[in-house]
Amino acid sequence: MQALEAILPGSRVQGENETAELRREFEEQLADGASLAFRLAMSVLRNHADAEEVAQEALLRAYRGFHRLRERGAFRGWLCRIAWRLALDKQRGTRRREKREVVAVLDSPVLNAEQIAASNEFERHVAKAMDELPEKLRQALVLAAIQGYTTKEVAELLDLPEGTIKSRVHLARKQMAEKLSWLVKDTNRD
Amino acid sequence: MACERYESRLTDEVLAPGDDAELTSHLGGCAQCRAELARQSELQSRIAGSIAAMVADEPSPALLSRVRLRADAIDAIVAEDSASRALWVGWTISGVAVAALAGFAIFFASRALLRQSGSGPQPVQTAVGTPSPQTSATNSSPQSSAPEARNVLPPAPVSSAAVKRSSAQGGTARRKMPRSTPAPQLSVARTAPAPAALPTAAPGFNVIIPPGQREAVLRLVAAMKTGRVNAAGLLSPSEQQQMTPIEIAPLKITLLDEKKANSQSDGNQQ
Repeated sequence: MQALEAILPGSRVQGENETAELRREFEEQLADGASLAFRLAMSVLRNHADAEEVAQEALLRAYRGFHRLRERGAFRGWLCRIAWRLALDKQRGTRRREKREVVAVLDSPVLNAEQIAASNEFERHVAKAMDELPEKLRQALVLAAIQGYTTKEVAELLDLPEGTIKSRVHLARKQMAEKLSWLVKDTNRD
Repeated sequence: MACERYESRLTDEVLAPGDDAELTSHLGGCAQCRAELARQSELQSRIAGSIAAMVADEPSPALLSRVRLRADAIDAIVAEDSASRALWVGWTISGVAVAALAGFAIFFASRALLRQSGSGPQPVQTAVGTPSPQTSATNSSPQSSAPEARNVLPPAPVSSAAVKRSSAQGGTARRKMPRSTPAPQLSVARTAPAPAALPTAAPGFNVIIPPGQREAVLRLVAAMKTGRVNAAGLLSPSEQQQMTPIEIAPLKITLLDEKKANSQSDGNQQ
């Protein structure tokens, strides 16, 4: 089998033992990877069912290419990129529908800032502001917000220097604050 | 309302407290800026809380079981694909090997056939009217041989040197025309014997020539061998004799005026 694979590079010609070994290694990464992929998808799609669908597809794509991954330690970063890309693709597909929903919310009777902040609408505004962020800033902000991930771990996931991640997170928060500061100012006026 | 100068720096102070020394000292004496800083801090905590809540959800346990089921299906497909691919590769390699062997076999067989048949063109047998040496010797009449036979140049007698040459070229001429076999002689050679100096045709070749041009062709062959072709020398002596110059009287051109004067004088005379 290995000889055949050498003849046809890139082909996946596996024996039973090799398949079982790959599966075992994948299983070791599966639980953690599923959680990461789901959370990333959730941050983009904000829909449980859609996020699970994206996470499942990302995990299966990662499994299909798992035999090509030389460094198993890079699995989470790789999965992270797959899930992020899939989530963005799905978001683009449903953007029109989501836009209608957001417009409907924004066109609804004007609530004062305190009411908005008190309700779930504040989260909607946060989500909208996040969607408007540049992709690099958005990804760093989401990963840094996931419980348990330090800046160093995010840097390892994205294969970037830690300073770059700190800078991106800082910039993302600042832009978010600038976009949502009107909520706080409205509260002061009242 | 915060001071306009420090308003944009308040967010940085929230995100990285104490980095801006000037702002820190200003905050000590400005209540409005302190209040704005508190609001910005609250906003940041709310934003962070919203984002954290957004990504705090865990996938359902069914996700893992679904992924495992699909992974099993992928394994099955890959196993099937591996088997068929291995089979396909095996068949491909076998096919290529068989094709290569067949190619070699055809190549060597064709080479062997070429050796057997000779490297040059096959000698044309003087099948029509080629008499045996004995028949030619007894038959003195030129009409006794077929007319086509007159136009066939016989192969030259095979000398020992020619045999050596031909054997060096492949050794087939010796088999086709053994040394003991005398060259066939044609009746035309007796009726119009070729000069002794005339060269013979190349060994192993018969050439069909038009009637009466045997000598000319022999001369042409000899000239081609020497590399010097003299067209006049190619003609046979008899043909040269037949060529007689033609005398053509020069044209007489008379002017029109003279012609008129002549005609008038003729009329007067009449």
